Amino acid sequence: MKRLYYGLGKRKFLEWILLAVFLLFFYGPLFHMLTLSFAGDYEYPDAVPHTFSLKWWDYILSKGQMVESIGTSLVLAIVVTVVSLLICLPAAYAIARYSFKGRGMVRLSFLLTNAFPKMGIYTAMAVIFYKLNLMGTFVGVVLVHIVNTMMFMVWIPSGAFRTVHIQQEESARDVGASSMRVFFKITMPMAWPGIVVASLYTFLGSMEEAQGSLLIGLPNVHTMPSELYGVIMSFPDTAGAVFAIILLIPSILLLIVFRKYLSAEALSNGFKM
Amino acid sequence: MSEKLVIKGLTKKFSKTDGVENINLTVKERELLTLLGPSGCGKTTILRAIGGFHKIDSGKILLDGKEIQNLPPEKRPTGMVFQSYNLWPHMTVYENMAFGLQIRKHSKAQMKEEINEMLKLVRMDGSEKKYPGQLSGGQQQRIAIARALVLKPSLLLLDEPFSALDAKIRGQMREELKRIQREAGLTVIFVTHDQEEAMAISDTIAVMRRGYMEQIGKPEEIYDNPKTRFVAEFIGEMNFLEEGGTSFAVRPEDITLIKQENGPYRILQMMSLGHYTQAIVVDNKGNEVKVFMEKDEARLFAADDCVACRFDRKQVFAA
Ligand SMILES: Nc1ncnc2c1ncn2[C@@H]1O[C@H](COP(=O)(O)OP(=O)(O)OP(=O)(O)O)[C@@H](O)[C@H]1O
Ligand SMILES: [Mg+2]
Repeated sequence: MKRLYYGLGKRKFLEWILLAVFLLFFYGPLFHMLTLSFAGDYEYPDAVPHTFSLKWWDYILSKGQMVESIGTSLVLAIVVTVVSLLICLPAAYAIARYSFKGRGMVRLSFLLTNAFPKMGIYTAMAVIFYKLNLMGTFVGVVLVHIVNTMMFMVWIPSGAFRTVHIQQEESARDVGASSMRVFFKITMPMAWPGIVVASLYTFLGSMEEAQGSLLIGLPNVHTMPSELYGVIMSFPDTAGAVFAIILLIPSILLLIVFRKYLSAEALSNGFKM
Repeated sequence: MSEKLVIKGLTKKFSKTDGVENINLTVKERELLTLLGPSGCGKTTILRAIGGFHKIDSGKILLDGKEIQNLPPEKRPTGMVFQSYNLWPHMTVYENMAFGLQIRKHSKAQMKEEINEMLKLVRMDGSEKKYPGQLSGGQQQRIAIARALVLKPSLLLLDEPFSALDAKIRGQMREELKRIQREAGLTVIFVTHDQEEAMAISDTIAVMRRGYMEQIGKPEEIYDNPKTRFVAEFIGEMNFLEEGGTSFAVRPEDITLIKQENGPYRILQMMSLGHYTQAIVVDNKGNEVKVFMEKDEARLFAADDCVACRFDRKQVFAA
């Protein structure tokens, strides 16, 4: 230790310690969860299992309802992302391009959906969904998720659209492109990073959303997070760990694939009023 | 020369005071016409109306004899270059140039040849694979012009294309544009608020003021015979004087200084501006007069000399 201290110099040494603490804090629980999921024998306060095995993986993967919930969650996340792209991109473009009365209000109202206590909104939606027979349906859950992610889906792409200069669209019209072509060949590609980031947020947000899915989806629609509640309550930690890791896989994959878009710039563009 | 573009009674108003009203303008084949005027006088408005980016209130725009005022921009055979942000940053120079050709379904080989030819014309060959972000401002504007030209537009519309560039490059680009226009036989409408630029490149200048045309004519015509005081003031340098109760205007180069003991004017300052010299003389009431003279002549004078002025060519404007 002393050798390390003098070898690195005081400053460097402290930086290393800080980094080590940070890593432990950040990756410690993750790593713990990973080891737990492969546990054979495990008793509660221990840090490391006595033996390792795949038995909890077998256990989870043999439960039909849980495997089904994995599929449901994936399909749900994809549908939510696509539908909210279809709804929110045109809105984002309109807010970025056209100045109309109450544009500020519209922007603010998207913020408000995230300012209310979530449970309050869900309950209010549940009341309406009862009347519309949407309780316990896939469509109902999709709607809840969209309300949840609408703010990101409008704000971030809207900021990205605003970085496209009007002349760049007009020169495309000028060389013969229809307004549709301009949108898909010029505006969209230029705003692409913002759109990707927003879609990622929506996808991941939908993957991990539990409260709304529980309230609106049960008893028919089981998503992974809503199942996870059940697993944690009624099975040992080790089963929960397996399930949590399965829930983590798509997120990590997506983040790796799209990491080059995840810049602070794309985000900050979205929050310029 | 035949008529390329005819504008009849064009009106486009944004509000009671803003916009252009009852514009009539004819541009001939292979002509470079400049819309010149102070900021906010409506130059861009006219250009955008021709390009299809403004819906006009009334009037007709005829290009090659066909009415185009109701067509969307993509259906008009015009090519437009803006002051900046013309290029698409996510495409290479080649892809930028090819965008319009692809819409017109040109074959790959044909496209390549046309793009090469155009890049040579604007002296940017070899930059095909570059992205706009890797080019200087002047180079970007060349590509923007090349991109418009590769589609063989019937009329090229340039809205202050060089105003974002620094003075030296701007001068070069101006000459280049004139050369390209001559070589390719283009008809061009050029917008600027820089009278020097307008004098340098135009076949015809249309001087605008607050939404209407003040005078249209050849550069020398406008310079020598400005119809109104506004034009006289806006184009070149002009002295406005009064003598025996009548006011008149004289260009600084139309004044000859004569050495004269206790003459009515005193030289305030002599300043060499390269190939000629500028003198400022002042009368006993404090009115300043600007005089241009040849370098040789300037050697005869010095500051504080008393002089008389001979006005070789006076012009009178209605108030
Ligand atoms: N889209 C618009 N909406 C409202 N008013 C406008 C619009 N475009 C231009 N105007 C107004 O119309 C008038 C003419 O504008 P225009 O852009 O044609 O001037 P310009 O001669 O090109 O000036 P500059 O040399 O500054 O570019 C200005 O008073 C301007 O404020
Ligand atoms: Mg303008």
